[in-house]
Amino acid sequence: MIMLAAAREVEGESAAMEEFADFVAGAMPGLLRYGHALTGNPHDAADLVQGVLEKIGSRWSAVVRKAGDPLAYTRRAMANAHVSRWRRTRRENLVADVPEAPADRVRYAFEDEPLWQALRALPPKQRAVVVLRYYEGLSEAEIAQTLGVSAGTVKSQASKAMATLRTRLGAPAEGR
Amino acid sequence: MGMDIDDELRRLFADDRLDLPVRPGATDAVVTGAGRRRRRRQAVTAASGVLTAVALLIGGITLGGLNTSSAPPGQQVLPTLTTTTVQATKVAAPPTSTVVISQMTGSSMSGSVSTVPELRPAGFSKIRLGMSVAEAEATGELVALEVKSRDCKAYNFKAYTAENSMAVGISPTDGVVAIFPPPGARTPEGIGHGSPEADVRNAYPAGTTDAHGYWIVDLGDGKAYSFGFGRDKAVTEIGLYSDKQMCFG
Repeated sequence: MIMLAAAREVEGESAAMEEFADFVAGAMPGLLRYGHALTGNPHDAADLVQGVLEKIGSRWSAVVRKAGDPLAYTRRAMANAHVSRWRRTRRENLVADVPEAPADRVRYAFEDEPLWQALRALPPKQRAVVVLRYYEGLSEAEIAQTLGVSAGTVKSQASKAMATLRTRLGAPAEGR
Repeated sequence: MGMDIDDELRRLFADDRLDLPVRPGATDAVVTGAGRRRRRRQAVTAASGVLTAVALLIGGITLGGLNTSSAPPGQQVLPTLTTTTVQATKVAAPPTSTVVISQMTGSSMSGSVSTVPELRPAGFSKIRLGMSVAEAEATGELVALEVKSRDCKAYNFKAYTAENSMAVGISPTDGVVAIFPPPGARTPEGIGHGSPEADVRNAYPAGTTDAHGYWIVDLGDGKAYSFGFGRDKAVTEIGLYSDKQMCFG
């Protein structure tokens, strides 16, 4: 009896992992792009995507059961993980093909965008609010719910962020 | 400048250059990582009692050896070890190991200068893994960060500054699930910020490297230490977390 139950569980797990692998393969490009917008650089984007997906995959059946839409759940988890992130150290990167050599860095054209530079300089929370609003197209209330903060916080973070962006873009030579 | 920031942001976020190429094998790497996390959780749950007992015995022997004369740098044992260790021992280990550990504790504290408490398997300072939000807040040691999610409330320690980061993560359902003590804190085995990676591996030979290069040490009961390293192969982050945590990736 115990053996049978265990075998069934293993079988269920492997089916769930196949389903998870399909999900990852399909969602990866969009998640990397979203992670890039959230974190401001390819390394942290790949890191964020991998960490969040691994965690979700380790509880895949429960996530599917409880969260309904795994993609929306993953994106929410990424926004949260990014904001509450304290791990600043570079880590081994297994997910995205990130340019490492200096020659490649030149071709990483976003480096030259003043707005992108200004966004990257924002504190993580402010940048998340901007990304959720302009990348995800979420309302203030939806952003508040996603990040687990009050609508007032979203409003104040957004206005701080926009003020900073305006200042930076108005005087691009400053602070470089 | 007359530029419309709203439009500029939408344009930027629609830019193709935001795309990142997916590395071949990325899906496999994620699936493997997810499987490893799950297996670790299951193995830890099954074997926790035994592991705790063994870890305590090994810890007792190792640390006991330090009493003799010259403790290597970074291996001092802080005075407050007894309480938690013995508490943990009550659950899992035979009474003999309690004796070993209590004997060891009294004499090995001479070299300690740090005022930062130890990070132990049970927790750090007054904060314990599993404490509810209310219990943790009632210790008076934490200051809440505005940043939090449905799954994780973030805090810093009042007594220690932390740059742009969270020191304690608390789940509304599982209580305290992650603790990242400030520099100066060491584990009972003497590992803290600045310890060389080789020392970490020596102190915790049963640890494993995770996908991000962290050295993960199972502590039983679904708990683990994690040690992160900087470029110079020295510890830059020490942590204690529960497998239930949804605070970080």
